[in-house]
Amino acid sequence: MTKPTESLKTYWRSLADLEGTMPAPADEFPGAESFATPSDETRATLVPATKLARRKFAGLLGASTALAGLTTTGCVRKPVEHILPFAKRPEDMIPGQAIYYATAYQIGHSVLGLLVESQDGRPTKIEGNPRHSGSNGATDMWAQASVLALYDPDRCRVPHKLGADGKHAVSDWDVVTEELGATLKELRGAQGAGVALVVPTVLSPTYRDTLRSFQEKWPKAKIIVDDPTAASNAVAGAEMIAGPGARPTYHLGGVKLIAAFDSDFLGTDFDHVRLQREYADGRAVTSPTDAVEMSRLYAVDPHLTVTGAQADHRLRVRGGEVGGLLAALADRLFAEKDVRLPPGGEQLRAALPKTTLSPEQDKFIGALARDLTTARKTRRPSVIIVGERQPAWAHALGFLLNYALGNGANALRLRLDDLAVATEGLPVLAAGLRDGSITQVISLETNPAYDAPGELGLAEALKGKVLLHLGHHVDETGQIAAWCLPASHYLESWGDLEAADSTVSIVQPLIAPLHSQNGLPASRSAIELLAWIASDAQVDGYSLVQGYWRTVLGQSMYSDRAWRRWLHDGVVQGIPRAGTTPTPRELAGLTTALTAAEAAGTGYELDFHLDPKLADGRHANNGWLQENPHPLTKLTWDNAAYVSIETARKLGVENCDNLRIALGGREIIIPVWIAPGQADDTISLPLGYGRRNIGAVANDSGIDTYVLQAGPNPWIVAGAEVAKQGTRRMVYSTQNHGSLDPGVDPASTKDDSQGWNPGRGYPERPIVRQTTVEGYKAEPDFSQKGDLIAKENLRSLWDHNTHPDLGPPALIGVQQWGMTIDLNKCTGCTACTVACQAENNIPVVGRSQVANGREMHWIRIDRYYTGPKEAPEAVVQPMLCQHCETAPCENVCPVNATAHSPEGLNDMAYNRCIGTRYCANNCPYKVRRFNFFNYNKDPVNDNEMARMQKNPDVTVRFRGVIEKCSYCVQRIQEAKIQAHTAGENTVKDGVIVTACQQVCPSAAITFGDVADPTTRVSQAKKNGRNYGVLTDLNTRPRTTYLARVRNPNPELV
Amino acid sequence: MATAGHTHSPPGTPGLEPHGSPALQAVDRDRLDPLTGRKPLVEQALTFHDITEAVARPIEEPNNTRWWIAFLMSLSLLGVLGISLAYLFYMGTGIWGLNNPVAWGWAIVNFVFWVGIGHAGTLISAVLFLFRQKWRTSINRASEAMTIFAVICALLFPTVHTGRPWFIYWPLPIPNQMNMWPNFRSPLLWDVFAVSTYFTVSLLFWYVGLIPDLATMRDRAKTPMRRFAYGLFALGWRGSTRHWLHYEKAYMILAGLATPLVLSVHTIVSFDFAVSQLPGWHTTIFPPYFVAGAIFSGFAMVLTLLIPLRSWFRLEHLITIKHLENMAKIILLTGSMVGYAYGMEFFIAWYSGNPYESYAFANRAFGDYWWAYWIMVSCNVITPQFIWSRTIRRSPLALFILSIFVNIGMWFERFVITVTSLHHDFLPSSWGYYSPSLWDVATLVGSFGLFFTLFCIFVRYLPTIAIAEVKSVMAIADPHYHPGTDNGPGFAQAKEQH
Repeated sequence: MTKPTESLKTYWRSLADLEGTMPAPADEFPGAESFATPSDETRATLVPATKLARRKFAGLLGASTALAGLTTTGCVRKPVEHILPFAKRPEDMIPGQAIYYATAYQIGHSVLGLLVESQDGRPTKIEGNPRHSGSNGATDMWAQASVLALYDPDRCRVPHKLGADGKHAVSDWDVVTEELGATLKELRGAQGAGVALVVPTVLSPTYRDTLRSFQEKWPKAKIIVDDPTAASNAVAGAEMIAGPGARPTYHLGGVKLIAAFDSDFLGTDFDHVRLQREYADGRAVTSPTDAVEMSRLYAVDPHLTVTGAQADHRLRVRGGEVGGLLAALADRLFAEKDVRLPPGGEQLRAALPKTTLSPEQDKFIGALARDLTTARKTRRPSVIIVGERQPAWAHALGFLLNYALGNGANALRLRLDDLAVATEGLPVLAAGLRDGSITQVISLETNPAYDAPGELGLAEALKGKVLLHLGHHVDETGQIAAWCLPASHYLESWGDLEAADSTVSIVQPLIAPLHSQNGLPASRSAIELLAWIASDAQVDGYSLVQGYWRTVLGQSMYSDRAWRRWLHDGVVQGIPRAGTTPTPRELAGLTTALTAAEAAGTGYELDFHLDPKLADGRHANNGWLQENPHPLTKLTWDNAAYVSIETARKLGVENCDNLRIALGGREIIIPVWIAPGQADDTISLPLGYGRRNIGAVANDSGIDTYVLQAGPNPWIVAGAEVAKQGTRRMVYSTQNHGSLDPGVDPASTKDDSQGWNPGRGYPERPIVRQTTVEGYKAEPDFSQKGDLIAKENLRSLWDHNTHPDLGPPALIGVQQWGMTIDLNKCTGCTACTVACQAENNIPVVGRSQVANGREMHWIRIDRYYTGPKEAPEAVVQPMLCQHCETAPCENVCPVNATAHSPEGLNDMAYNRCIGTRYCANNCPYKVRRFNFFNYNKDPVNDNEMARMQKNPDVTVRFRGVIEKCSYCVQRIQEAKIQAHTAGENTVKDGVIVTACQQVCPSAAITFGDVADPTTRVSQAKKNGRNYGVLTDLNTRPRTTYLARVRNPNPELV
Repeated sequence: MATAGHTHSPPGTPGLEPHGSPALQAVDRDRLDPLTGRKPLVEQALTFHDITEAVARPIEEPNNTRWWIAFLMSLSLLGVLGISLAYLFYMGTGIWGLNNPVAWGWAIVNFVFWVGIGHAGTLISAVLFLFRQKWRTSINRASEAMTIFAVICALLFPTVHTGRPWFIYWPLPIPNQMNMWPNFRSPLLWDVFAVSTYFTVSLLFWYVGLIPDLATMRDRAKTPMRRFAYGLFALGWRGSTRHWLHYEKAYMILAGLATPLVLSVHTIVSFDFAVSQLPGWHTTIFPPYFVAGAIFSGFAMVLTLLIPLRSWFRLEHLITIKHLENMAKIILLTGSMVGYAYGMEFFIAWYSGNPYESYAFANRAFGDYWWAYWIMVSCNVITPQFIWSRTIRRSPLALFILSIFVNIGMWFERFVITVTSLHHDFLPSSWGYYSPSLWDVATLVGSFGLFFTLFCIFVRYLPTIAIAEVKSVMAIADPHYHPGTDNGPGFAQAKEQH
């Protein structure tokens, strides 16, 4: 048996050769050389040599065959992995078991307390922290998507230094410390003269402390705030009327009447997550008696937002007229004797700008004023919320009105933020750069070269002036910075955040900085960097944060035990603050501002707003947010100039036609999108698009609109020149059709025929059902009206089936899962779409695929318009797999890839699916999604970074299979396993929380066991408003909806 | 159609006078067949050997330029199919224009189209056989070949349209260790059985019918290769009475088996739509309507193929104007049935009072795909009405053009049913629009390449007309045939005297 041994030996040797771990033998084929050059002398030795060669050759042949077998089965060589197995497993750590850590997230002035899921050390999913007042257990889509930003492959990974050739070269922290440290030392020596430090909104106590120490060491430096997401107008308004440090917060608990003046408090304005929950609580209705107590929402705005879509009455006006309408309202309210003004009120009343109201506006404001006074008389709390886009005086006036209406300290609360550091705005930076008083700019996680109003010309002015930029990407400011340093993501760094109500959370990292250099973390948090800039000492974030709290609280209050408690709960208790509460008493400033208030501009008005998806552009490289359809227009991957039908007609444009918009010598070319509900002669422009070279996702997405911003209040600018440009840029919406009125196409400038227009409209369909409070009282079972076939007449084919093996799915599970979605609470904010994407490993498919309707989202938010074409009401309806008990998709699958579970789930067996797509055709709700390509192998979804985000409990689907909502079956199974381990037969109500339910800021989604009549979901299904969509088809959906009840003012109906 | 009265009608009965032009009279004069009182099915005075020569000669002559041109063109289209499928397998179904509401596009349209075409062959060979329609004999072979090739094309599409075609065998009830059975409730599974059964029976039927002719080819073969190949498939046929007895029994049994399949296969294909609950698909009229449409399109395709074939292979005396006329009449009948179904669909959509249903049909005619609907109506309802004209139905050129229109119209019928129903269904939020990609077009064109390549091979190597069967319907085959009389009036008179 020499042969096998021989070949085995050869086998190993060649494997080793292949691995490169062993030098190739000098002579593979002894004698082969002589074979090649035969001569008379060698001919004699040739025979034994060939003999040997033959044996060896046979061995090699076997070996190579074996190797071929090896390599064909594993063509892809496994990468070298460094495994550090636990010799002793850390306590509480069970591989495969997720651990949650409390931390917090900030955008603008909003702070959300979070619980972040960590899978074997990788943060994978963001959830809200129920203990935190800013999130109440929910989050918004920005926080949801922030986990993807951590794994963004385009992140700035190492420090870069700008070379003499104007290009960035990779550097490292040693060089930074040495070279940049020297420059900083020099500047510090000059007390920071000529230096501007640009920071975003700072709500972190430690950061503020660090800023103060910076101010001490760099007294001549200017601190500039650049943060389009900040509530700076509201803060300015509060300070105008209630003194420096005054900060407003709105509270809707118990509020019966809300008047939103250009405020998107349910969407992008600050504290939207908390306000959405409070608003939704005010719309909770179980019976007609409750409905009477429901809150009423008035909205006055130029652009239909999530808030406007919720409004019971909406008045579309130009952005510049909103202040005038507020003044008109104030004028009427002040005439009431119940509305008391503080001293000095009379001058103020006289200074109110006089506006002539159109009859419609007059009626609206009159009704609103009467409603507010009635509420005041009947002691029903009300609130006037002024939107962030409005100038400071409008906010101040709003605050004053709230106090005058007795809502102060209840619906509107002012508090003193005594820790705030005095800062200045971008115009100061621009002026300083222009006059040469600022020569060095330090930008910490800000991007003034991109997001400053175009009028300031900062993109040009900053060139050569940016000393250092700390950023997540080599962004527009980073590209011109002498030093571009990588910023740590909030999931990688220590920090703390103070919410609007002074609740403080410790931001704790879940993972060490992902990117390292020379074995050390390559990124720094803003606090760490600022501490170094301030004092030349490189201190780590943990010491800074913990050190701050140790100092500020003192030995008496601080203990390691308390610290661990804070980290565990995510909320710091017992922070000492000054007890004074500011009140709106200083009317002089407001009176001056009112006198100086500019009248509404004429001509085309440009209304800039934070994009509901990308905010100010910071999320531009986030695929989840780019692909998430806009809550109302359903646009993905692009922004557009939103215009009304009338304006589009006037400009002679249809959707996707390019507009040339010029203002003050600056112009942009942007495609138009007809947005029903938009005020005439206004053009709403979302910010945050048109990023330049920051990443694969962001590039070529939308148009930069900051360019056109100008004036003291850059959000609303009148007098733009607008014309049809002639070319087109295709932008794609995931929902092209969406009117619930026959014959009306809301996206067309053409007049729809009054009657039935077979090509466009359709007969009324009872999909979204809604009524008014009056209608509800008259018809408590209104939600049942509209079924084509009454429930008692619905017959199933299975009913007269007697065969035991054939029949409807046997629903024999003890627990039966079901869901309700309350349309009275759902605002259509689309946070659930992103949460579902994060939880269920749903791929991003890209613009071209969305263009062909191939988006993969398991939840879509259907939006329908109803009513007049120009000023329609909008209704939203989350649509996801309805888990029909007699699912039409199941019986048509030829391979049984989709089947019913005994617990009533419509399950999908991905590895059984062959992709006939018959199920998708037969699904009346069209909620099944097909992997037309191998989306999960696309670099956007499958790069070494993005892979770390994947939820290990959910299959990553491959090409050619159907997927759809599973009711988060992995969460159900997890809960069942835990219940089983605990010795229980059933899972307790409320233990299973689906991803969409978890994220929902308005708590519109209820999930649970419908077999148990005591569960929340069963209670919700008993609600008279409960109805199923398309139940005429006898699908028996497990997901049902609670019909919407609007609360219009009878006077305005 | 045959009435006994005609048998004894004297020649020159006014009702049987030809209506054609005087030029035509020489050929088409209604000289009575002594047995049935009809025109002869084989024109000119031919002997049995003449028939054999006429059919076998074209396939024994090498280097037929016209054939090579046709074959190479077909082959290059087949190459297009190969490339399209290779790219499809590499990339995924996403290369087609499919999207979320429209999950079935051209692939399914093509499937139903080809299955429909596959109907005429078996109808001609089985149903007409059982009804003793002797005129079928000269066209059944080619039509059956067409059926088989069309079904091959049809089977291709459901296979490649799946997301993971490498698992296409999963719908087959193959016993496996997991005890996983296919879902017997799914119409797609019924399709698998219906179409594969249809294919198997059609193939067998065709092959059994070929055996005597294969033996003829074997006997005439001049090269050992041909002799071997034809001999192998001729199964040792020697033409003995016992062989003929068995053969005719087998043929009759297969005809009996195939006849219900003609009705069942498209019925079941229509279930793919009718069993679902999509407005526009969920329609009880679909089974008869689909079968009528299938026969309609099948006969059109037979005309498309045979009109050039009879001319190029000089088979005008075997595939006569009368054959074409008969087929045209069937097209007129089934075309009118299809037209009736279109009308009935609209009536029911209105009469049912179901808003989704009425919307679906209004949307078909006036919605985004109005053009497809009106192409369909013009081609399928209006075009066949020209057949009422005797001149048109006796003109091969006119019939050829007409058949092309019917083919186009029937393809559009399937497009209209599949796509317009899907693109706007229940929830307006999920409505979309479907347009095909280049690869959709390439795959359809390529499937024609496959079809014509197979058909070219067929006409090159197999007798395109059933030699043995045609001989049986010649006057000469009649035991009472009198050679001197040219099966004309003299013979009839002679018979009268008996």
